[in-house]
Amino acid sequence: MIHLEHVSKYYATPSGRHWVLNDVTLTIPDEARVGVLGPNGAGKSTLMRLFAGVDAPNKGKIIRAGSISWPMGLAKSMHGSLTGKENARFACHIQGLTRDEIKTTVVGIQKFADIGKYFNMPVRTYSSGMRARLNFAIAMAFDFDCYIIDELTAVGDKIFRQKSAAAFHGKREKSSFIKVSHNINELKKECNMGLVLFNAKAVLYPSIEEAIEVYEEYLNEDKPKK
Amino acid sequence: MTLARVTNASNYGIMGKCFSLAVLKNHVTISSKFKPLTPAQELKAGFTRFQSVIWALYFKEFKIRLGKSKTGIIWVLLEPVIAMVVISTIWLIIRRKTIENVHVMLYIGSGFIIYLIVRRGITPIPQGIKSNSSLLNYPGVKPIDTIFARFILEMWLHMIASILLFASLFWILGIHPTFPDPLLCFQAIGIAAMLSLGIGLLLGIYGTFYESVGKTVRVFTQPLMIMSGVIYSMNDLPQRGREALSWNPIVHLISAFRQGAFGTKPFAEYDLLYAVYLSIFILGISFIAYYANRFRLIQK
Repeated sequence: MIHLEHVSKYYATPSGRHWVLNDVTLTIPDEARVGVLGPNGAGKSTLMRLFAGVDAPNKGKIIRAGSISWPMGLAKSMHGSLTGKENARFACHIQGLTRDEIKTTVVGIQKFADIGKYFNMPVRTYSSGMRARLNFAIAMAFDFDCYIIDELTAVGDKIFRQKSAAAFHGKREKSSFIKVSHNINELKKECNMGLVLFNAKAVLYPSIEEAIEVYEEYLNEDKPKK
Repeated sequence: MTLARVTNASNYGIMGKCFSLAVLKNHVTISSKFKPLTPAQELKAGFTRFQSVIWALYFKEFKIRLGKSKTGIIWVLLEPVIAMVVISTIWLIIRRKTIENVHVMLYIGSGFIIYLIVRRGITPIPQGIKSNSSLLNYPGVKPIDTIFARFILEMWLHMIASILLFASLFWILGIHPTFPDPLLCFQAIGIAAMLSLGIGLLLGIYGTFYESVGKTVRVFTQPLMIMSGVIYSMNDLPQRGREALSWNPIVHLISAFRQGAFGTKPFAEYDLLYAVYLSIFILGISFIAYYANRFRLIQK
């Protein structure tokens, strides 16, 4: 469960404040599977960071309950100089696992990521697809109540997409997720709620179809002006 | 534009027990099936988080230090010894074997032990935030953790290096400090470490914001070693020189360490309390600066 209470977030730019969120209040319930829609640069990634607690709002309050994953996807959370294995170990360490647990978890991550010899090579030598694989495998190794997924499937190949979908299906029974994607069909299939981020306002809709409708309306409205 | 609506969790048919998390001004209750933590639990969870993050970062730093080049770690361990040998050789060439009745090697070596602790606060401790910026994308990892982890690692390595210095002097030359006041030595080391952490955190914060800060500080601290009384005795300086240098807290710390290790007489303007107050002040300022900038640092 994540509740945003009058949350505002902006970045200081040379031409004044750039608002990502302006006085947003919404509640994402425990068992929601939210699809997030918004044009490029609307601040979806920032919103994900706020949900995960990586970043803090400039104004307002965020109440969270249950464990929430870090934003998975473009894999910024991995250190380039560390190998895949060391990154996996690091994630295990900060989750507070014991030494024996870490060993078995890392083996599980290696199996799931399936990136062969690259697992023992520095992450900076990875392709973006491999990074996403590893990042996803690391996050899947832990049981979060809510997963935050930021354009994860955009870079994976077909096999990996199938694999991650299967893994996610298993988790879905217990966990909820918040997902950013530009693939509307995918969102339609998987989500039961939709969140539209547009012009620094975020609105949560109780069905994904409604959200998609609203989002497309926004896009059509926006076009003629340009 | 439509306003965001408050969707209540109970509207979505969540079965089972619900816990109330907060009641808003408009009497909407926010509830969740996840039990909220009590303040005591939250504190405990925070401490556990802090501990595991520091350990994780510590291991990571150690691995990178070791992994980048084996020579890197040897250099860290031998730096005080090498510095001591080079400077002492200059003294020995001009035929001075003892300073204040202490063997030149021991005297210079003890200076480097304190000086290098503080020096670590200028590099590499402040660079910890930048070099770990990718790991800040984990919700539990805070910028200050990277500084702490680096600080702990550097202090450990420096301790081993210092022991190595005294041990090698004992093995090769058979000389060793007499330690008439070991407590004073530990005090000097502790204050130096505190000063190092304060400087490290402060430079870490502003060095991350402004690249020129780190560069400027590194240029201006080039002559720091000469101005810290590492390679000579303060008692050999004229009064005006001593007065000018006594603004530098490292001078007092080195003097205290030598007093504790060899029983040498401190210089006239010696005042260890000055170094203590300054270290506490810098550490306090750095914590305030961190608290004020803690979110901005993550965005960088």
